[in-house]
Amino acid sequence: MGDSNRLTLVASDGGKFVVDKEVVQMSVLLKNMIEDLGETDESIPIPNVTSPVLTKVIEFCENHRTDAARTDGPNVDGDDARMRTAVVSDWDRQFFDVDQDLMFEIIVAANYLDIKSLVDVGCKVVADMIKGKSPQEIRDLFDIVNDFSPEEEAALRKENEWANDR
Amino acid sequence: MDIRNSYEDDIADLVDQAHRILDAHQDAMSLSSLRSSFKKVNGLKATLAERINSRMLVNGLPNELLIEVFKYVAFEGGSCPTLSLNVGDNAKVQTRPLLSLTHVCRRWRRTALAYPLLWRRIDCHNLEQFREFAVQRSYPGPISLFIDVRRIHDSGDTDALRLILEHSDRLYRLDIAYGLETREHVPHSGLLDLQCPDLECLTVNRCSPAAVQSPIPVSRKSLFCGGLSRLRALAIAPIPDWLPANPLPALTHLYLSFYWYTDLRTSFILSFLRSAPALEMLQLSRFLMPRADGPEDLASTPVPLSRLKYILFSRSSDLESALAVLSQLVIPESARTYLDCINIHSEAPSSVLPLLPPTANTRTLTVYINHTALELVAEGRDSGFWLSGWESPDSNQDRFTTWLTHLPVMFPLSRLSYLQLQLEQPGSVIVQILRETVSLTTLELGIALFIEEPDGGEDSLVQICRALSEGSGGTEPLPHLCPELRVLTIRPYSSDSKPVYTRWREAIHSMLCARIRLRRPIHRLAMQPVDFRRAYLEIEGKQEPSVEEVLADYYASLADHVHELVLPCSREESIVFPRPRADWDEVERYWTIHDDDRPELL
Repeated sequence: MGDSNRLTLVASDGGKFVVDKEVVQMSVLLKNMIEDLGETDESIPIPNVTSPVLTKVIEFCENHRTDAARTDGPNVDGDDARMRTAVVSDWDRQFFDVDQDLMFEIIVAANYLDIKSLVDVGCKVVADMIKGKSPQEIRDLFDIVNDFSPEEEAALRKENEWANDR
Repeated sequence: MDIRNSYEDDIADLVDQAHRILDAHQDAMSLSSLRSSFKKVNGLKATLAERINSRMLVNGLPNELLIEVFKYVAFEGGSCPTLSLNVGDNAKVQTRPLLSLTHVCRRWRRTALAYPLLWRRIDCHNLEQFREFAVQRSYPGPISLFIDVRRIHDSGDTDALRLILEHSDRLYRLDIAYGLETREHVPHSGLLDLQCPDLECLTVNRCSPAAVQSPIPVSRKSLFCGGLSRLRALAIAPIPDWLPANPLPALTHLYLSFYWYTDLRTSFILSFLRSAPALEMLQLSRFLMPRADGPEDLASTPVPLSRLKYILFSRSSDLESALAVLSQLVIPESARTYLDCINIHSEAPSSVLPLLPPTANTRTLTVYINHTALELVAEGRDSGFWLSGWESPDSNQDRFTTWLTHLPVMFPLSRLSYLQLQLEQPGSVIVQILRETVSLTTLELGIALFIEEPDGGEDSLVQICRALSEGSGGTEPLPHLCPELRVLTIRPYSSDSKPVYTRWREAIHSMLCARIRLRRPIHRLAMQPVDFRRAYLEIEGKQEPSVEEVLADYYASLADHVHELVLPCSREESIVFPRPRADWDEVERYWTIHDDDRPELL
């Protein structure tokens, strides 16, 4: 019988990761799986997440394992308290200082594994990259092409007139 | 055959075919046919571009995550839209970043347009924009409107107001900015008569209010057809000729600016506060009651605000007016209280603070006084009280001295464990305060050496050391002053007086020895040198040593009488004035207050 406080995660490419249960319980998906499985030596497959991504996800969970659960106070919008407190720390910013491929894969993996804090930080980092940029600058940033038809562009120009009417 | 290459070849063939047709028949094609073909090709081009975009990394995010990103971009600083309470011509609105997001690509546009909550914050001065955003994009979600009445007034666009009326049942926040060139005390009256059953936040701002000469009569007025039962936040800056008459059972945040000269009386304000029993944050800016209430005018029973967390009288409020209100409120001990006031002097009896709930359990007290200003911080385990004030320029030093004599009335000095005094006051005044602090364990003293002592007596430091040395007599004598004192920090300051280290060292040495004899030794002593000119050093044979070097040698003998001797360097802040503790995110949950409206001590 292995260490009951640890378990093995298997990434989509077969990479195995032995981690503390406490750490991976930041993932609601894994927490529920652990509860369903009970005491077991079985590995848990994570079919949608590759080893490099899972490595980063575990790194984040390790670093944030002692974070107090965030509480949302009442407000005009249920999201408000969370959005107001979602400050990207230096560590988190450093964590996401990776190429775009990996950054988006981490966010998608966090969403799949249901790790709210990682999703929040990831979205905030992406938002920070976007803030203050024009549509063309955003396209350049993410390698997006302008896919609007001329008719659609005419409508956008009208909206721009509203935006500039300040 | 490679399927991918097959697709590419097929499309290439089709494009070639289109080129051939165009080359062969373009002369025969009508202009409308050409335009139609052009449109179709553009459609194809857009479709291809859309396919490319779908493969881009950022578009690998599912819609719900893309929306999260959009929220962070659109609601910079938090999704709860805040507005400065000093609305100028550049009031921050949230429409522009949203528009940029919807202009990036088709997928982003579709995603944003399909999420009404993104479009709930609208700056309304353009009817077409309002119709698009408020009526269509945000439907059927709640909406938050910023209405600049000046723009509506200038354009004569009453249709916009009509539209607002039609959709006011969706309003959860309404920010009204008003004020024209002409003197105007009230915003557009129609806006205050809307049916807004779900309104949770209301701010009413008068832009650049001009001073008024005669007092504005203020009355209570029923707003929004009497229905403000869900209102949680209300800011009015400045108070015009009305205050709401509605019951405000859910109101937690209230900001009122008293910039304008009104006929308000304390009893009126108290009556208004009585309508908001759930208040958690109360800020009264420039608070001044021009008319004093007689005892018969004040509420017969105090106003209970049992949930209050913060109460701020800011921006040079009048101390007497603030105390008149405070004395009539029943607030929790934990309510953090900030008084940024003028007219701190002892001539008006009411300028002496009553023992308020937030000061009743004070354990640590910090007082700073120079010739015109007084800064005070009193904190208990869960309570906090901050006073920043100054006298009128024509006042004199004696008033602060008298004020300090009332300190035992204002704070439970006998229960203090920590006291910091930085006073430009005679030593006798400090000694008088120390006589009350029987539980004190830590004392930090900033002593002004340029204060002339009455009758030309010993300087402050010598007086204090002598007083701390005195014993009570009897078989088991105790120190008369501060018998529990263990930690002592002394920071004399003077820029031009001649330091007399010999006398001070002797005084401190005697005091330490006396405390040992009285079995109440000082454990830790920090003694900071004066910031003086080196030429004034009285020590023979030491021509140009640094101040720290000299004093390290000079005070070294004191180390024999304490567990720890610290000699901070002359530029070090050995005594730090505490910063006001506040959760500004909580105080400014619904709006941003001006820097001058925040308590800034020292």
